[in-house]
Amino acid sequence: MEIGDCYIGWATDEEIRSKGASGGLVTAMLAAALEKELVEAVVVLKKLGEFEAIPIVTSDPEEVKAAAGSMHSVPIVLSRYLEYGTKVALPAKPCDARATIEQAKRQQVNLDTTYIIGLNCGGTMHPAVTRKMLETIYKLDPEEIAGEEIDKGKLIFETKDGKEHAIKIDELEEEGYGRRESCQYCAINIPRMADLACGNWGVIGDLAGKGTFVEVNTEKGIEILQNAIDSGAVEITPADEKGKAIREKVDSAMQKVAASAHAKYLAPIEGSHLDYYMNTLSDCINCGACKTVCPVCACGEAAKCTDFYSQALGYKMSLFHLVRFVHLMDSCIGCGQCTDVCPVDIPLTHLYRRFAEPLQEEFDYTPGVDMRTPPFFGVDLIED
Amino acid sequence: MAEDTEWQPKIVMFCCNWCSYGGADSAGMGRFQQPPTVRVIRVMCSGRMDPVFILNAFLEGADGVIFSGCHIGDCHYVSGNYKATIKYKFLKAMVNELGLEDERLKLDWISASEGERYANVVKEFTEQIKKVGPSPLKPEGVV
Amino acid sequence: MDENIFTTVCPGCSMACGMYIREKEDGTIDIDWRKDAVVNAGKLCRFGVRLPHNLKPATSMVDGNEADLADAVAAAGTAIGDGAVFVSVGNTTCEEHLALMKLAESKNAVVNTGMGAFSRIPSECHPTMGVGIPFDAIESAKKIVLFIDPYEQYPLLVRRILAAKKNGAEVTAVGWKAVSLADENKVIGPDQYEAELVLDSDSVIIADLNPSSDPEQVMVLLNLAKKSGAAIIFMKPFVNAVGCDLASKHTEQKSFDQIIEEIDSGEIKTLVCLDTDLIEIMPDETAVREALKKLDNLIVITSRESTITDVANIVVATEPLYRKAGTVVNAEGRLLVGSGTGTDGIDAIGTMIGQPVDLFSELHAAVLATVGIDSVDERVIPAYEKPEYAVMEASPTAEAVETALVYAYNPFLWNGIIDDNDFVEMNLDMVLANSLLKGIPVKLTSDRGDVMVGFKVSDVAPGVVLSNAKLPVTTGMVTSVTVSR
Repeated sequence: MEIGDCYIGWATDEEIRSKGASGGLVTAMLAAALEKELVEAVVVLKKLGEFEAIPIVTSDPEEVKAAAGSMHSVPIVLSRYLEYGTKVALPAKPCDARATIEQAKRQQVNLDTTYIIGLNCGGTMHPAVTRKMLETIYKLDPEEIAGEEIDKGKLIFETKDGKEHAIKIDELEEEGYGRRESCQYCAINIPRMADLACGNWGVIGDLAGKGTFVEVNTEKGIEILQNAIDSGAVEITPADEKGKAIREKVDSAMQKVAASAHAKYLAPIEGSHLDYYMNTLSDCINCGACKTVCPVCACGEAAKCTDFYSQALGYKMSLFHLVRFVHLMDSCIGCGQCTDVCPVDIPLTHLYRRFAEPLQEEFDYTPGVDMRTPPFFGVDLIED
Repeated sequence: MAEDTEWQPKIVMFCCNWCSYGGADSAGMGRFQQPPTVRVIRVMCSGRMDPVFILNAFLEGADGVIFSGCHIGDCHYVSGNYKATIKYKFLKAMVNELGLEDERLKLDWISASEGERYANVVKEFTEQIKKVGPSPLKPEGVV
Repeated sequence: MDENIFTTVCPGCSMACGMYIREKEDGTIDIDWRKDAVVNAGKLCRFGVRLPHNLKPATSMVDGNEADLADAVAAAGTAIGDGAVFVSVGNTTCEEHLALMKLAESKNAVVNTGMGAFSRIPSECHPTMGVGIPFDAIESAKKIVLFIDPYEQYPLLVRRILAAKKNGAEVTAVGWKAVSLADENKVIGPDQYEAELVLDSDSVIIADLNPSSDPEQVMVLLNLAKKSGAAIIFMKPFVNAVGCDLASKHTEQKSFDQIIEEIDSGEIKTLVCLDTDLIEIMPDETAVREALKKLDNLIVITSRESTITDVANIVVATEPLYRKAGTVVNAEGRLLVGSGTGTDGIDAIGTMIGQPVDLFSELHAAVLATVGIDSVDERVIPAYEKPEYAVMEASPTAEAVETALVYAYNPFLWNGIIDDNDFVEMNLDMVLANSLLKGIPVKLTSDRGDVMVGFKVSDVAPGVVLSNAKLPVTTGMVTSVTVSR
């Protein structure tokens, strides 16, 4: 097996294969990594409800198997739950993988002991929006939902009676439902920065729905996939060119969709920029949640954004926010967690992206895709 | 002292200890005329530039902020001013996107012997700030 | 690595925002955001986010020494006799409150929730004062009048009001400090409400009810709602104030002022507090501390360490709210239940009654029966009857003081926690009139003495100094002060 190889893989255990997303490869790899002690723990989403799951760090392969299946209405980034030094594996959307790499740059995570099993991602939804969308657009009772899937641009819900209800995602998003806004304009769908990139794009023919496309990106990726094969948990077959091409096509199509969403949400500000930022931030109640959930932040309690800021200051704008804007210019990965947790519904992700994108472009730097030092710490040896 | 009814901007100037602060001294010793608008804060190196300093200065009521260090290649700590040029890119881009006029933030290199140049930088920057007027971020009650 | 994760509600106020508590092996906790929670979509205010820093578990004590829970329970059982007075403001589950009611009943007493306003206002009004309206209803209101500062007091209401504004609602705020999301801010007295606030049946009034609320003021608001047809919701600063009120079935109660008075005069000798810290809740801390010293027995049954546990004779330490089995009813009347299964608190009280086993199931069934449901579903708000009431005579008397020190109520203040908010706010005119200097604390002087405190310039009504934290110079809800350098 070599870096760059592409396979279709699946769990040999029929239960995992059918319960897991498209063949259960990821679940089987994670469980095998625990069983064979390749890792001490695995981070998975423990399901608490149809639209609710909580990240847990577990050493129990049964808990890993129980977490099989994708949950599009659980928009969480897992990097916060990683502990330095623990040999751990995690299933990772591109934002999870990028956050983990950024945390490694900040010595919060040791990449040598962290196996990142990447998952293709077209976007997640906020559970509150999903519920409202089900009631209003699908005319379904959220309690009747037994499963969901995104396929060929359609969001498909399966009800307990076995019926499928599909609506095109762009139609839903026209109505203000569908994916989170930050997901709509995210252009990184295939996690090539992870050790493996897994998903169902490119799985065609007989294996459709029963196999996972996996691209091997690193030595650790080879290790964890080979471990699963050697332990009998997983079988693979080389992916054919047609599948590879389809995968690329889907990725390009999604990137085009992302570009038009980008134009919608990050259109140039009309009028005074200062008024826009001051007004948008005016309702802030200083809860600090945006900083706490930010997956690339690592300062903890002693941070520059909070150390010099106090509610007593009475400035025209919050020093906390302004410092965060600067600090995140090179590091914001656009995961949208800040917007999700803001108690006064400030669209923080859009604000951070407005500062970050031009700068990341200028430095030709994308946070979270490799171990390149963030440009803020650079030394520009220029000629005067 | 003459009663000056024209609005005088408040400018905060961070000067590196080795070159620029020396430049300020030279300006004084050489009796080069400068408007009394600048409040100098000495830092050891222009590489000490921190977003908190600049943002705090604006939020406290500064109309303009200058960061000054040694000429490129002459930094007392070898590469501090190179680091400053990078951070300055961040801060300039941020301040522009935020909506503060581009003229309000400046990075310059002034050596210890350049007394006249120091005074000129202060004069020119003051004129520039007078043109753009008081900072929109000034707190209520600060002139 | 091993964590116990609890689905629970934030103990900060009667919104009862859904959250997770992740409890580590060493007992420390982290919070996590429960995005599927119906009340708050997972979002939390600063109080919720900072909970791990501020929530300290209680320790059982007898006469100042650490004790076993069993010993503390036994000591409490002995100390609580006839004539004991019971208080429970709503910081714990309905079931624990009902358990205390049973204990009180066995001593021929009731449990006082501290909402003295209930006793001074006709009973037909009580359901309207108790359960409010669904927060969703705020979003579809055409007009909203705020008698609270949502940013400070009940921050998760802000997004509901902002959503209402997006739907075209007009927002008016009546209070000491301008509320930035309001279209209009008014500084008016109760006699001007009817004239100045034009309301109708598409309007919503959002007000606050707490142990120090003036019943006359509450009646004015009830009248306003009645005359205009507007819906009204009284938010409370305790997570389960509504539940405890429902559990109490509106029995005749004393206000906390009355209770403190009776302790002071020697009438009350034994006080039993269930998750109720009178020192933290009452504005005049000093008076409360002095009164409590006069008790023969101060028994505190509580889930957290707080000011009162330091001065109590007996502390019965129960599990934190997130670990408790039991229900909570929020300001909407929504029943909420967490994943906790602990019954330390109930079992402790059960032992004192002589029924240490199975008390929880009995009480949980009683809660469901009171509300008229079979099981708790976070997404369903039970139906509550709210009888019509007649317009009442009400005349709140405003103390005429030149400069008034008042509180900007917030969850930190109610829980005696100093957050990043230990400063007062006043408008620029007051600052200039007293020649105050930026960055230098201001001196506030009252009959009690003086204090130096940091200040901030805000859009505050003239003659008002708004404090975000309790100050030792306080004499009551309104304290007359002088401001100086």
